[in-house]
Amino acid sequence: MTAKKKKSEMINLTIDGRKVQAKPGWTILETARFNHIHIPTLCFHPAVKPWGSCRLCVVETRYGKRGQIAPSCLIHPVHQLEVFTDSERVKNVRRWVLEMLLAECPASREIKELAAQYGITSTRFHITDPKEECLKCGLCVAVCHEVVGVQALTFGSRGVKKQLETPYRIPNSACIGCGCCVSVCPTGALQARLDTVRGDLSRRTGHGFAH
Amino acid sequence: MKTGQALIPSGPEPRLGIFLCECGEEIAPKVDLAALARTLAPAPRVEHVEILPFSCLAPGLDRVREAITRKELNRIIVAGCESRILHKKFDRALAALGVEEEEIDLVNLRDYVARVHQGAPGELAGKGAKLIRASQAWLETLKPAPRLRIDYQGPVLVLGGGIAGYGAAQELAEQGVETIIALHRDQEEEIRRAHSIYPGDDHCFDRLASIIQRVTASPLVRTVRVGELKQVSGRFSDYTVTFTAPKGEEIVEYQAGAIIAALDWEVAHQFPEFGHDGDRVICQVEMNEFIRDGRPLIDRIVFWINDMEAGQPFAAHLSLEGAWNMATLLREKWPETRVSILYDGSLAIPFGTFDRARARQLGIALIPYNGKVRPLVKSEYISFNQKNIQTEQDLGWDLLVLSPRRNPGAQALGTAKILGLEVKEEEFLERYPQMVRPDQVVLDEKLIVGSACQPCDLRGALSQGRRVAKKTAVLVKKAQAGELYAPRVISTVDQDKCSVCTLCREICDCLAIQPVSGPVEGLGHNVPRMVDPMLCTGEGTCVASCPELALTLENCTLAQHEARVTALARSLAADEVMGFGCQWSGAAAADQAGLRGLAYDRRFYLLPVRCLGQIDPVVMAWAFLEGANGLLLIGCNPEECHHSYGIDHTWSRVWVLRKLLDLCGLERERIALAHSDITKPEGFVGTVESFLKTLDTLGPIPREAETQSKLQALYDTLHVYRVRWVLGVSLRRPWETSYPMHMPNPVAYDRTLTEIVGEEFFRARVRNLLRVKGKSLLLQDITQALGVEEERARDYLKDMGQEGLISIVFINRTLYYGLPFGPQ
Repeated sequence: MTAKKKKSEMINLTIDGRKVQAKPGWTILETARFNHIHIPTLCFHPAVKPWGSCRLCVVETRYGKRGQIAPSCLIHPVHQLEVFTDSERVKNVRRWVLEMLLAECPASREIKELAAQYGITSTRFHITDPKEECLKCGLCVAVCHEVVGVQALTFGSRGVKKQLETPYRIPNSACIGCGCCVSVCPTGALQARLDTVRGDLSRRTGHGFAH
Repeated sequence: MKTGQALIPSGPEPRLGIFLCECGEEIAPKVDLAALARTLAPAPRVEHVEILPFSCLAPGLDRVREAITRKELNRIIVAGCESRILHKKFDRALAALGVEEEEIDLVNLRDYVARVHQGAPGELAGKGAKLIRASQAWLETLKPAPRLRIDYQGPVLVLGGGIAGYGAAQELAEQGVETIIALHRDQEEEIRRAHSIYPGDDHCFDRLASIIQRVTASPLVRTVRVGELKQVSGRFSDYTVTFTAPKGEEIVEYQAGAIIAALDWEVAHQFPEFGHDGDRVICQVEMNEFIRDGRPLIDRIVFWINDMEAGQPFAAHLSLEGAWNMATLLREKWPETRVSILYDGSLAIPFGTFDRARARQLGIALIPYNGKVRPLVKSEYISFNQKNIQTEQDLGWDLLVLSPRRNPGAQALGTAKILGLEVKEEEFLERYPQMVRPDQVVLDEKLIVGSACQPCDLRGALSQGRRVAKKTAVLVKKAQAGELYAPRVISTVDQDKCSVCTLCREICDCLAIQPVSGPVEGLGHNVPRMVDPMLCTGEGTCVASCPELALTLENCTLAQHEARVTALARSLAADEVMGFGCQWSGAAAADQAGLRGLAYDRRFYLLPVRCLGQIDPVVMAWAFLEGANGLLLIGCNPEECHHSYGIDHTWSRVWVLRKLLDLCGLERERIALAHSDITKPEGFVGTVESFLKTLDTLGPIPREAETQSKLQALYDTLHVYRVRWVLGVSLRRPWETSYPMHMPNPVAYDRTLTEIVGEEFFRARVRNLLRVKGKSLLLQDITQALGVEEERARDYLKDMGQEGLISIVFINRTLYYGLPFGPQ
């Protein structure tokens, strides 16, 4: 591939009325952040592949006459795309998302603060567990697999019963106790739960490999 | 070939690129990055400084790559967030440009500075600059070790004679890996033995027979008959294994690339205290024989699963399964028998509703009892407390079948010992995988399988073998393709310096340190050590304890540690304090403190390390010598080191440092060890605050010549072989109760240590004094200058003279002490 062709590959788009350029492969979120345009996220972490579970990073995209609301962490821009990160339509979706998250993890300080920024202080959805902090964004699962290289954490059950847990709900000997899951958790829910994953560390060290 | 690759010079001259992250609102408004960039740019080797909104995202990475290519950078510092999480992303992104993982360092500007401190952006930039400078010194001193490729030779050797070996051999053959299976018995004997140690597994034997047949028929598997295992030497990719011949005394030797040891447990009869007599009260092994012999069996048969009572709760479910299998067989073959199974109700039952239905159909009574009340065997009856009903019941029997007693067996333990494992009598060889990341060690667990490792039935043993064979096959194929590399950070031994003290071998818990080629005739075990790069987890406590400083932790050397400490210690203000944090706990807790928005004193500077165990006491001393007024080491909880007792070893090292600080006339509290955990960032903050408070009351170390010379002596003392050796042997595992050098108790031991440290400290001071003065001195001069008692000093000096460390001469009937003659 020649250098000349590469140059012409820059994609021109506008984000909130600002003209910006993006290279193929960049997502809208990455392009926006690089241009100091803030988009709130919960389940996005640069260390792992984005998978758009929290739906907070949604933006409104318009291309000619067509337009849609889409998660900015997953979609790649095209030429002449118009992106709105803070339009009324976007805000409305975010408010819905936050209201649902407030019901999902009512104990989380981070979610409450974020919701308050959008004017949400209460939720109309059913609260199953008032002490829940985990929003099941899956960052911990992804980081454990993609960054650490082990699979100590998984999602158990499905649908509304989905829970973050270890296989058989017992401490997993695959866990190396690195705490990466705790570090990436957007609500800090894993800090209290780490012991259910790693178990008693002293039991697992002192394996007597010496002579 | 891409042009980028050719641009990177392989020369040693480091060219640094520093990338400062704004991280949205996290760093930029709180830390004055522009000022920080201005501070960092003028350094001689810094070729590029750039502020990026997000270095970690695709646009940022593109800019980093572009800068590397344009300016030929070969050392990268990213001042942003946690190294633990983002280091890998940078490794992967920059690997194509020839930047190796150890050439990238991440400084956590966000969690160590921006989020946890309040202050003017300019001041916070000052703190950031000091941390980045330290990292810069680390990278500048780095001499990247060449990548170590594992050249794999020879087949996989399956030894130990366990059933699991067949599972392993079958899997390896299926994967197309050449295998030798060393057998101790012929096929018939093998199956007979399997019957006796896996009672109740009769239904699996057809499968076992077919596996054996397939293994022996496979062209990839070589079956050899051997006698006893004598010795294993070498390392992964190149083992030499010696056996005695099956008959006679001669020795047979096999070369192998990898070893899988398959070890079976041994099964014994139950203790007589349960009524075992071999006649009417028998155990499952005998019952198994009865069934196989087709002996006519009598009326009421009761299986009592008494493993809980016999102290082997781990085997209860295996006994229960065995009993169930035998019971079904009995009812099918001898319909006139009445069979009951009596088991502890607290057991998780390994069979489901289908089996229960089948039990009803076959007329097998499954009776759970209350485990808190011990059943008692009486003649013709067994009394027990029925679960749920809680009443005492009697169950009549004509033949009572007890669980067998399982133990790892002398043969398995013997083999494990030869393989280098520490074994305890009667204890299964169960191993947990190493608690480090998969990319930090290649062989995370020893390839030992079978029921002597993890109690299991026949099927379990075969699948254990298969599982480990699958892993081995992956490694072997990778190695054969020339793609298997050792991790970047591993210990290596300088064979010329090694004095064969075996200390590192005792300390290493990864089993990575071995003699070069086993015991050599005439030399015994006294041959230099070497490190198996496949097993080393790159902790470095062995390196920090080597009396000869013969070990090096590649890409994480002593020189790097000293350079980093120098850079930081020299830049610290009088009231500022530095510390080391372990990546698993201290540094992780500091990251977490930032994430949770906790705040602590700005005067604390944390240097992250892989494990506290790699901090040589020399480095701690160096910090004090270079200007640190206090040193805080934050590591894991005791006995929770992810490598080999690094935290426990650091504990001993800190204690020796305290002794030496005492001797320097400085306060012991200037060095402290703390324990921390990622789930308790508040604890970390508390530790830091309290240490700073302690240091505030102590004030800075007065840096006049006298103290500096004492600190120099402190530093020198820690290089002395004798001190390092005594400190090394005191690096104990927490459960050890005996003390080295036949010391009766910890007090006596500590007294000896104090004496030795004291004497060596004196010696170091004398040497320094003589060097400074440049002439021979009188005893009074020395005692006056060093402030020691005359009598003691004379004794010490006499010893020094005898050892040739100083020269003692008479001039005009007066004793003069001077530096030794000749080359120094």
